[in-house]
Amino acid sequence: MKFERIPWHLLIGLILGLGLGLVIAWGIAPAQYSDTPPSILRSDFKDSYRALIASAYASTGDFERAETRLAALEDTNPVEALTIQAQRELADSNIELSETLASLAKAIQDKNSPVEMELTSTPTQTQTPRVTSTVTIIVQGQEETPVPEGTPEAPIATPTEIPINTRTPAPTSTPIPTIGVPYILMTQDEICSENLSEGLLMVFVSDAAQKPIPGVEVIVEWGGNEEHFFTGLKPEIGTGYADFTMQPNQSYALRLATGSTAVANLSTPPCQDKDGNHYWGSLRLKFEHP
Amino acid sequence: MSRWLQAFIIAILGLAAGLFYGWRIAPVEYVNTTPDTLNQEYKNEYTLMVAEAYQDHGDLNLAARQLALLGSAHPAEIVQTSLDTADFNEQETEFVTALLDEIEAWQPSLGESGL
Repeated sequence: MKFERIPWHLLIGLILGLGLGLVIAWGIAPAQYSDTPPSILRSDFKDSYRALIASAYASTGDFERAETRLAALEDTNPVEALTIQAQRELADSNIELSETLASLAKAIQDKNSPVEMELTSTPTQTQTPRVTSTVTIIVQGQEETPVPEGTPEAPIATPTEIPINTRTPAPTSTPIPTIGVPYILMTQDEICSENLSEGLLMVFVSDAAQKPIPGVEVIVEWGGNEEHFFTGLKPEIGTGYADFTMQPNQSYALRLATGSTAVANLSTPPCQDKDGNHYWGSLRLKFEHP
Repeated sequence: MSRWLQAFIIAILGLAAGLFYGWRIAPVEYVNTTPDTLNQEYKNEYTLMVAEAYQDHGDLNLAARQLALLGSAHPAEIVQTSLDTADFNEQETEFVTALLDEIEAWQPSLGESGL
């Protein structure tokens, strides 16, 4: 092709026309959206929408409808989104809304982590079963682990008929009941690291398979004060992670709202750097759901 | 046909192609939209949620503020539109109608932003 044969006037006309068309279509008069889905709402409007879903759920108890509505928001992790918003509302002293959001988060989490609740019974027992407030549970080879009354979220919440005059047989292949079983404190470590904030109380919550559990409410008490916070608000560290900053020379007690080993006398450990300078260390607690 | 006319015609064709591409094939993708742009189906669902929540809290001002996100019309109009366009079941219609009955007489109090 000879250079002088290129139709420059047509090429330039085409480029100019195409460019002008794109400027108009993308810049001057972009296509107007009028039938948008909730998933592209601005984040604060998404929060309003999500809060309304939780409020409607609190009113009607229609879980499936709430799930369908949440799906329209297309949150990557609805539980996490609800939990984070609940924490923000709690920080803003909107206790009621915070609880409403947390309630829906918990309902979803409970549904997504189905666990079997089968209690052992002796086939030959003939006594009429009676409902009792104490449930016998076999946990990892232990014969009996009575769950005391008043334990939050303990199996007491599930009315179950238990033959109280029949001892549970020794370990069998019966599935381990896990609903409402309290979280167990697996490790408690003092950490001296200059890379961590001083007095950091770090809480890690996971299930038996070491899978982090978000949305678990943690309660810290000290000197008549109490603070509630949730795991999963710092997903960059871990979805089962939550932390709290302790003041030096103050003793704290910690427990999980859904029931756990209560940990008392928590305080910032004193540490020294390599030059002998004093600083406050951190504590790391690991809870596991059996 | 003169070269100028040819260039002009080609430019018009290019303009049409650019508009088609920018509006149809690859339109501007909107994010951070406001609730008033929601599809009417979602607006109806939103109104229903307001009505359901209202059954629980009974706070008419709160319900009005929530409905105000759907547009600048009076909340009663928004609720009425939903009643007219949505396919609510009997109970849902009852909730929404109850809200409509209450909110028709509602007026924003002084100092209220409407949001």
